[in-house]
Amino acid sequence: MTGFSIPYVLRVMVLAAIYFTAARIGLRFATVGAQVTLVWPPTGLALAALLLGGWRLWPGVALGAIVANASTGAPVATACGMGLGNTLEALLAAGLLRRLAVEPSLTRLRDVFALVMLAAGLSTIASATIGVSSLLLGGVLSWSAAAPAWGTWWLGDALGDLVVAPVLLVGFARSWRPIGWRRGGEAAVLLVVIVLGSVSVFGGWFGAGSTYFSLVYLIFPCLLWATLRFGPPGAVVFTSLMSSVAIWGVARETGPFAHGAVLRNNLLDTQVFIGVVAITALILAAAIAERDRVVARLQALQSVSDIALAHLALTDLLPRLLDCGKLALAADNAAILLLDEQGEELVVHTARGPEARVGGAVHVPVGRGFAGRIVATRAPLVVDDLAATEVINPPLRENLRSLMGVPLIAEGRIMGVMHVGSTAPRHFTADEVLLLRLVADRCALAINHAHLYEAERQAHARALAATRARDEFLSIAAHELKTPVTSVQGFAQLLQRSVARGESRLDAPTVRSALQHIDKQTNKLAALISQLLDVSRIDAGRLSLEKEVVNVTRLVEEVASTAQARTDRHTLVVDVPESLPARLDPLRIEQVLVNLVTNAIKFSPDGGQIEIAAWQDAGTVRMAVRDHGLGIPPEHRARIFDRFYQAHAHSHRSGMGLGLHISRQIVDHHGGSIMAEFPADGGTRVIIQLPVAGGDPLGPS
Amino acid sequence: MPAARRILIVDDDESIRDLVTMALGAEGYEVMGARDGAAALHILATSRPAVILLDMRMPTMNGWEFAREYAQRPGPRAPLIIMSAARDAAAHAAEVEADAFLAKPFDLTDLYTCIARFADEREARADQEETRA
Repeated sequence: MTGFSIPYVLRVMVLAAIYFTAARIGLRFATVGAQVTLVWPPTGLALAALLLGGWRLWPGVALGAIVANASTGAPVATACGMGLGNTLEALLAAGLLRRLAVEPSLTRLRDVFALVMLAAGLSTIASATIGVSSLLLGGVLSWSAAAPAWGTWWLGDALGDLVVAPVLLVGFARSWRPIGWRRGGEAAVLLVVIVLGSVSVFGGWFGAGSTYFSLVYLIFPCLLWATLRFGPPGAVVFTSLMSSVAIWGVARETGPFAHGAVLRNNLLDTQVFIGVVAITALILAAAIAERDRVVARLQALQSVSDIALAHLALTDLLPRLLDCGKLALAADNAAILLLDEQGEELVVHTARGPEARVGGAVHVPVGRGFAGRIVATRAPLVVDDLAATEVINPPLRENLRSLMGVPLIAEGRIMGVMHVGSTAPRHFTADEVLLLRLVADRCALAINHAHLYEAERQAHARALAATRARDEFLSIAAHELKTPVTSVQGFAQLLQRSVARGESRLDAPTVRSALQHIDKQTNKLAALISQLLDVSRIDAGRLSLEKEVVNVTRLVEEVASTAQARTDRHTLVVDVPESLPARLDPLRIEQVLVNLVTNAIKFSPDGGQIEIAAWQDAGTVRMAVRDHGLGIPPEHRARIFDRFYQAHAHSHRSGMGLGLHISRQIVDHHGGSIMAEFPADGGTRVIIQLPVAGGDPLGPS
Repeated sequence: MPAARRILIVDDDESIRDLVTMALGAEGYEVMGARDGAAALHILATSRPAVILLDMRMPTMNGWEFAREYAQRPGPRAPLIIMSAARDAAAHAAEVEADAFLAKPFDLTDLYTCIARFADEREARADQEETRA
């Protein structure tokens, strides 16, 4: 393309000079008067210049054309008219091709058809018509010569578009990369073969004239070699070399087309031949390029699909997908940004290239920046020059020049953005956008599957844990219930046997003791069963409270005196106010207190003091039970309120480990909290806090 | 010389110990109780029962630990009968190489049968030894 620093005027002047030179070469083959020629390379030159350099360069075309035409001896007005035709032709062709977004690389059939039909076929009509009219009006051309002049003009210009323009377009559009030795060698051999073949055919090595016409078919193997192996570049190089040699041959009256004495007829045959060859080569090359592109795209999509199918974890999946997409598009940078849970911000999940070094700490709000706009519009976005656009991630602008991004959409839900970038200026074509979209669609599906799999995995793990917990519950419950059942059954059978033998083999104290055991174990069974029912009720969310206003002082005192009656090794000390009214479920809170006091006694095996207190504090009622016993080892403290957890299972196994769990659930249902403290001088202090201070809702009490 | 009709019951549950003591006492056995493995080892230091009834889940020293310690002690070993409330009582018995097991809750008849088998075997062997001597 045109350099950025060359001033406009200079560019126009250079274009005019080149145009003039090319025109002078063409005019050497003028066959109708001095102005009408079958060889007119400037048309192709002008088209390429306006298409690649922009339509503003048209004054260069006009200037070059007018001067060249004037140099043939035509009147200035006529030269100007012809120049106008030449300029309009170039503007028309370039305008049409731009409008159809023709890519100068000529790798698509539609682009080649556009060039052949609209540029070579249509735009040249303008030049031929205006040019011939100018010549007629200027009296330079006789009316009888008008028709052949028009045909000659049109064909000459058309060939300029078919032979010269493609060389320049393909040459400037391609980013040339060094090719390997093998391919370089093949290209060199091909060039030699093209030149030698053309020279031998058109230079008349085998003779001249129509007798040797079939020699032109020797050109076709070369055409196939060049286009099949080297695509559009091969096609344009072949066509331009072959046609140059053919015109050279016909000018020196050698080769198959030098069959008549009239140069114009010989040239006409040559140009028709060149035109057919050029169109054939361009179409063939574009078809090959399209096929190669489809194969490459399918291969890329195949590897993307393979990766998407092979991995279920996002951390494995996305880097590999990104590598694949980056490779398929020959990009320097690639990144996947995912929307956060609220769908408000994008965060870089995985990146390759310069963006990987930038890191993922940047949050891009939806609607802003490059990726944010893609999410907002749910449409692809291509930015040729990042310097001119808003980006949220500043290092992106410092490191990259061009960017292309597409939304990640699966099942109609947008989940992020995938974009690839280039460190050098690059125009991402519609074809590349399509490929990225196809890659992104597969990415989005894979991400969706990964999310579903993860959710399924977690649900499965939760179900397994629930089943395990249930098994454990049943196992522990059964085990705990069996001990009192064994005892009750044993004592009952003992008494039964004694009675059955008709004589009392057991003395009265033994019988009394057996009955006491049965009574005690039955109570224990009942207590265990009600604990199990409580837990099952809590688990099912069916723990209901029957709240009423009660005096917490009385509640605490009753629990303490009942507990004191069962132990003579412990001293229960009660510290309560005169009266402490609160609205709570008295049976449930009593259950909690009994549990705490029972634990305090159980875990103070050496006896000692147990303090029970209740007080009012900042809108809450608090109760505390403190012992000076074993305390809880630090490694067990976090779990003492868990179901079945027994901190002293090793030394003091008793019960199911449900007491504190149930207590916490009851307190939680009251909207309160329960916690344990471990004072430095030993023991445990459990504090209950209930948000139900006496006062306004209670009335006088 | 083990007393043929002396039984050791090791269980942390007082009511089970009392039950076994009463039930076997009524049949003329002499029963000693221990609330855990450590207490049982203490008793075994001075007394040699004909049969040991062993619970598995106990605090301080459980059935597995007791069985291991007991097996390492020198001298003759009394038959071990496991009493377990666990689902896999048989497996527990196998783990400690016990001679028999009673799954809780058990029938008194089973207890008598089991005890009689091992205690009487012991008695017979003791008689034989006595005769030979």
